[in-house]
Amino acid sequence: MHRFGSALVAELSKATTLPAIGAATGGTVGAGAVVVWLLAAVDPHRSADEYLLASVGFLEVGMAVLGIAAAAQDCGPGHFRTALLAVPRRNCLLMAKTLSFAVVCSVVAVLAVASCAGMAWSQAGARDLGSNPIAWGRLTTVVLVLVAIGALSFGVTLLTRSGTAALVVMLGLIALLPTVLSSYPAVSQWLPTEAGLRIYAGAPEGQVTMRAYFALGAWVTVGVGLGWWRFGRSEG
Amino acid sequence: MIHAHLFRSEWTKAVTLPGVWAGFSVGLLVPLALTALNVMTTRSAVLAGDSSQLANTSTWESVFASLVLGTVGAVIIGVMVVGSEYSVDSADSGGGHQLTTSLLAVPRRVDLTIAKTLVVTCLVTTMGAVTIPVCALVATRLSGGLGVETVTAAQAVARCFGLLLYWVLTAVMALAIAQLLRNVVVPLTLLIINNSLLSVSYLLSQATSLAKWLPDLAGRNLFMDPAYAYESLDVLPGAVIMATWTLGLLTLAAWSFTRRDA
Repeated sequence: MHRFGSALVAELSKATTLPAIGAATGGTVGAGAVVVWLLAAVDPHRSADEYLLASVGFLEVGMAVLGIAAAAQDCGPGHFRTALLAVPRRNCLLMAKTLSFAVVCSVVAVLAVASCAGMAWSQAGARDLGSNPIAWGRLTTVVLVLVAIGALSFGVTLLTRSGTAALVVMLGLIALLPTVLSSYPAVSQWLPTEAGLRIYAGAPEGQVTMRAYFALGAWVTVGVGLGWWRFGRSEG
Repeated sequence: MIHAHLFRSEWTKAVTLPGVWAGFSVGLLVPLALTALNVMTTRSAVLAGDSSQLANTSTWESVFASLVLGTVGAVIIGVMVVGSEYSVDSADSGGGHQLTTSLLAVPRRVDLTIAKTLVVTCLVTTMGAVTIPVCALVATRLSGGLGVETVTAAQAVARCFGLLLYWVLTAVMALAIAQLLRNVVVPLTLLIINNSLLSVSYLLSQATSLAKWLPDLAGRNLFMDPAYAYESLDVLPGAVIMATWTLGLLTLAAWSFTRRDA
């Protein structure tokens, strides 16, 4: 337990001092606020809630990049061997790496949502003081979905062992497939971002939120599980 | 003058990169899938006698609306050809960066940049030469002649070449940005989002008319239906502005490449 605690502290230290993670955090938080500001400039008659919902897609891309930056640090030449020299038990290393990422990811998700919600409130409030406030339930579910997307991205990077390949896969899942399948909601509802949308924005059919939780949970479980499996069996 | 063997070696490097094939696959399969889905939706609506929800029932418009996403494939190819030189994924390359090895073989950096640009141009042209006819063929087969065709053959050919030019210029801009940033993740993320999830240029165009001078909006009318195109420049001035952006970015990338350590 003591060794795991040390590994966890080491992984947290690595994660919080990586320039790539700092850049992904700053980019996600800053770009989210800028997107909300742009949306408000383009269409000033929407509520704060609508501005927030419109910006979640960008935040999801930011969380995907964050997951890639966190996992890819040990996919580079030599890094994996050095990490295993320090912590030879792979499951212990993986658990510490995953937990440290969960902490960082949650903090970044909260910061990003706070930044977007703050900008949305300020923009909607400046034009319409009586605009709809954003419910705490909405904020919580958006944070939950963002953490899930970050975790999926983390797992995909461990699986592919390449930041570039993981980025192409994740952008395909987040940006391309939902567009291609937009006319087929029966299929697209199982995509991670579409399931997330049904969790934080509600589903048009009503009683399908549990299905959305199941779909998103399955993506994260399979993604992280396969990533662990691959990482545990990789050569240095 | 670029030597043939320099082009050949860069071509060989590019076509053996998995990332380039991923871009080629995205550039082919995504528009193809979207074309099939769009045309089948249009066909079902026409057969049901209710096409009121559709902007139009033209098969060619369905094809062009789908081919827009092929830009993502061009972006991936452009970024990968340069970004792979800076990638540290492979332990086999010298010091983790392939670029130092490439510069040992080709010390003239401007020549290397021009060779990569030519390779990207050829790759994206090949992708377009495969994707555009295949999508058109699939759309024609699936539509079964239903719907009202509003695009003449001459317009379709002109817009296909316009789209090809748009893809090539976008890919070269992606290459230049990747070379300037010496990075894969940032240009890939920004350019893919801008060409799929939401165009930041389009958002800006709603706030200021100056946005029409941005490269992607300037070149939009090369292939868009004029009736539904954004308020942007005409075809020829738009193409000139987009080409000027591309040349400017490429010159800046080559200039910075010659003045920085590998």
